Amino acid sequence: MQTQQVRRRGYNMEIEHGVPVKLIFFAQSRELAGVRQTTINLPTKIAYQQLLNLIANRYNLESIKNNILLAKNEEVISDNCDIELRESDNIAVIPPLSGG
Amino acid sequence: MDHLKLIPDKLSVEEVSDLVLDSRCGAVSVFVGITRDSFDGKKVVRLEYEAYDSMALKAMQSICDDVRDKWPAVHSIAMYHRLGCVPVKEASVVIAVSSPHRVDSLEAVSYCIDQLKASVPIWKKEVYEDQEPVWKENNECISKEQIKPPENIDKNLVQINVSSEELEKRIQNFIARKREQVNISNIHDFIPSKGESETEDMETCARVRTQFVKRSDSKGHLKIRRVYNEWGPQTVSRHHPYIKEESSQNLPHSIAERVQAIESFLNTGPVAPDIYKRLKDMEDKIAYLQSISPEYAMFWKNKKVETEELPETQSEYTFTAEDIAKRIELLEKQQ
Repeated sequence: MQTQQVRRRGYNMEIEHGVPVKLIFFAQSRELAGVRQTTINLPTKIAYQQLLNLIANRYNLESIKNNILLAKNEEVISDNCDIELRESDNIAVIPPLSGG
Repeated sequence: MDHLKLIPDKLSVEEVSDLVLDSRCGAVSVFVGITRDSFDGKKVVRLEYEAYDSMALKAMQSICDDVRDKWPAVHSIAMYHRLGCVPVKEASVVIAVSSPHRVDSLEAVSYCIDQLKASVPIWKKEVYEDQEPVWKENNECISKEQIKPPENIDKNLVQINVSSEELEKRIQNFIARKREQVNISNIHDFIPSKGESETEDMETCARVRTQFVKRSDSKGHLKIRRVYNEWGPQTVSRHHPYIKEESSQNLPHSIAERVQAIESFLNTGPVAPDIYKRLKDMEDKIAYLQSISPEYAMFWKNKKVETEELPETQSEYTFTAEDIAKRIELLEKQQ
């Protein structure tokens, strides 16, 4: 079902050969997604924008899509490069910070 | 020593500042962030903090590393951030820095809180008395700056309006095409057609059937390929069309170039092209004024000496009949 959904939206990905990746949500994104963390199958290589679109679309984050950062294994990912993923990697959705 | 912690319990300022005490340090600077009871006139009941613990601790450690780079005199740093519910008027963050002299610790503690707000993944939700809770956003937060769309770009300067994916695809296609071209030219260079080298083939053990031919117009043996761009950045004047430059304002590019070349050859230097136009305008104006006003007669003195005398002789005819009679009388008496 996931595969179908992804295909329909025109993302050129091979979900079948993907790797399971842990996806973690925080703060506002956690409330919108309705989960704290989940596992998702992702291709081993994916463009930042593709991944962002996919996450925003699937986890109800369209409203804050332009304000979130993604972090892989606790490092913020720069938004202009491809992301290479391996099993047991974790991707965190980071809404605007408000510590202090 | 760096003391970094995210704790769910009430923070004790004294406990944190004690961590950095040292007999060699004459200064301990402490910053305490306290939750306020109102925001924009709305009454705040409490704040709820959450963090991406492992990443937050990493980010705090990297702040400490930065501090030690910038202020080597700093002795100890302690950064404690509280998580979970924080009632108003209680500390949410305590930062203490010690150093032998106060300047370093004061500056460092200020840097620490700025950086903490900007780069440590901690979030707070403000819970109000009578309104929906709101997730806050620090002004210092980096993501805002990174995502801000570029402003004030002249639309005329944007040549390609496609998504970054499409752009990426085009770049990849371009690279692929160029690689193909390079491959083909390498094949031409290093594997000459069979007709040429068939006989040598038999006698050589070289892996590539390379033929080194001395080129007449070059020191190298490789063919030189020149690229003639029909249109592109190289063929367009390097002056930007949208930044109007006076030197090319009125003249076509080719003419302007010739003028500049001749000017520099004659050593008259480049003259702003509009100076000629201004000179012509001034001359035209003078000519016009001369033609309509006797006040500018001085301008025609040299040329029109004869005409200047005429009015004088003519003026004698303006005498009245009486004057003439008197004059005749005088002449008669003289005789």
